[in-house]
Amino acid sequence: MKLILPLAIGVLFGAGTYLVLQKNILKLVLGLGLIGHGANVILISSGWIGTGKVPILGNEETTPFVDPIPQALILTAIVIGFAALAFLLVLSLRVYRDLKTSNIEEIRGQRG
Amino acid sequence: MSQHLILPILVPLGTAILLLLLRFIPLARLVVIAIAAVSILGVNISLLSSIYKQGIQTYQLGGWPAPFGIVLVGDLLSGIMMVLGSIIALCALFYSFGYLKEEGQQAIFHPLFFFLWTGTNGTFLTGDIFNLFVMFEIMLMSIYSLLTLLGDKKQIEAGLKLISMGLLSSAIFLAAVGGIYALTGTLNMADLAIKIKPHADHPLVSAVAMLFIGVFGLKAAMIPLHFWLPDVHSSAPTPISAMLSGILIKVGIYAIIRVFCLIFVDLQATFQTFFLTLACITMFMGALGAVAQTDLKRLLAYSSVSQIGYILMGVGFFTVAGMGAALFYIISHGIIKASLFLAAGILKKMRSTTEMSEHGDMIQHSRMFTIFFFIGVISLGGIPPSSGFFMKFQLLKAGLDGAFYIPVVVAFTVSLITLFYLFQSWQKICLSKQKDLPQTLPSFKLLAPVGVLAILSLALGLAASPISELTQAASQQLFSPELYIKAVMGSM
Repeated sequence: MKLILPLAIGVLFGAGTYLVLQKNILKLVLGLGLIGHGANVILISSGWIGTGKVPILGNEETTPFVDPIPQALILTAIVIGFAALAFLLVLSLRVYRDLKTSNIEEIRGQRG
Repeated sequence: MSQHLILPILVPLGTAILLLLLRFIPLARLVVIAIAAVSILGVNISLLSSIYKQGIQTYQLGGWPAPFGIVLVGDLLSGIMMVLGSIIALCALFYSFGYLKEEGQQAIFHPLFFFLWTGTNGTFLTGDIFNLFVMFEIMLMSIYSLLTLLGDKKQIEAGLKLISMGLLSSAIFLAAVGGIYALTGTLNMADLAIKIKPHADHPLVSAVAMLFIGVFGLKAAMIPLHFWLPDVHSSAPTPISAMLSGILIKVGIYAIIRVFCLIFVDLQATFQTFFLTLACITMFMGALGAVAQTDLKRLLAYSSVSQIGYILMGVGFFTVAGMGAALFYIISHGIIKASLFLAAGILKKMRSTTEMSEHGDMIQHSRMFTIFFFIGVISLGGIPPSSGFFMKFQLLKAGLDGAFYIPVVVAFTVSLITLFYLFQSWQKICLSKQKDLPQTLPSFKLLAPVGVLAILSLALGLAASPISELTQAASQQLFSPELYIKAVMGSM
């Protein structure tokens, strides 16, 4: 696990960055989603203590526990990220309908 | 423990929900909005005065004691920011009745506006770093919707930029929170300030500090993270432009001040040069961008970038006088810039464009408009009787006292450029001869908020000494973080 989490973070951020740099608007949306999940994994790894147990009252003897707070935090973060991503998706649909293009370069040209 | 600290969050939130329920009853909505808006301003002012008299106040949500639950903390900085936000929001709200003609638009606009207000008040009050993230998101989510509400092509494009920026910055924010939590195991800002002390040399601390600068810098639009601002601020519906430039970019500055005067106190000296360099670049590039604009709203947006540089400079001095001057600058610039943006909105209403070449001879059509616009121009330009003179004077004096000569020289040069582009825009719009007359003249509903804000900025200039006493007291409080920690953590 000590190796898997950092690797996952790296892959998520790397793939996300690659997608954000593409010209297709849908890839931008997906890339931002991946970056958001990378951040969530960072957050959950901050509460990870090796081979920790489930933090439930009653089995205190089987220490050490995993810190439950980061798990609560990413629950909030996932919901917020989902809402923002959904809004972005709807907006990109609107862009596609209005401008008949999904290329970011062409969207930028519409100013004026 | 003071219960009323929750009111600035609860009242707008309740109002927003009530407004959604009253969607189809315009008269009832009007009554609710009027009562709520005035009472939020009243609550914030009474909160500020009680903080001034009795010191920092805290409220533990749900009764959970400090390091475990979420705490709301009202110190002078948050009090000042909330009152400023409420004044601007009140004017923008009044303006929106004249600006949004269609009933349906208002029915959606106003609930969202109150959600935005909830988010800003919450950001200023919260004493928990993760709660700060949540409040940021409430605020951003309302801005996304308010920005794209009218469905104009420019607004959709700006919305795309803003949301991408917002998603990226919230990911960075989460990563930073994760880093700091891994190190200290707490999220309460006062507790963080205590627990981070022994780790001051840990490499993770400066990495996290840098991430926070990135996130808050994106919100405050300091160069090189300003790329989204000109599009967003210029294409947003005018009342929202006023809110964005008046208070929301200052939220980023607020967060930088809060984090660096509480959690990363030991890093102040390390980051000072970095801040001052960025401040100088931001001032200069923002002003250069503004000179090149032909559209009034874009000009004002670039000018906001430039003014953020000034505020950042005051913060970057990390002296009591500098921070006090920066706070005075935040108040004064917020009021002036909101007034100028609302004035630009009047021009937009008249000819459905804010291109300066399309306008002219306003002095013939509306004396009041010309006067209010002129007050805004001299204020932002920093000419004596206005508050703008005092904001720049205090800042430059603080710089000279602290022997920061290069930033002071840059700031002085940039203020001349500022004066140039503002007077040029005023001259083009109000004095230059134009043959064809505009069809509609500015209505009272639109002109009144501009006038109120313009007069307020003049009054701020006349009452500069009590206000700067207040900001100095706030800055004094910021530089003794032990007061904040003691108020939150009790006698621990």
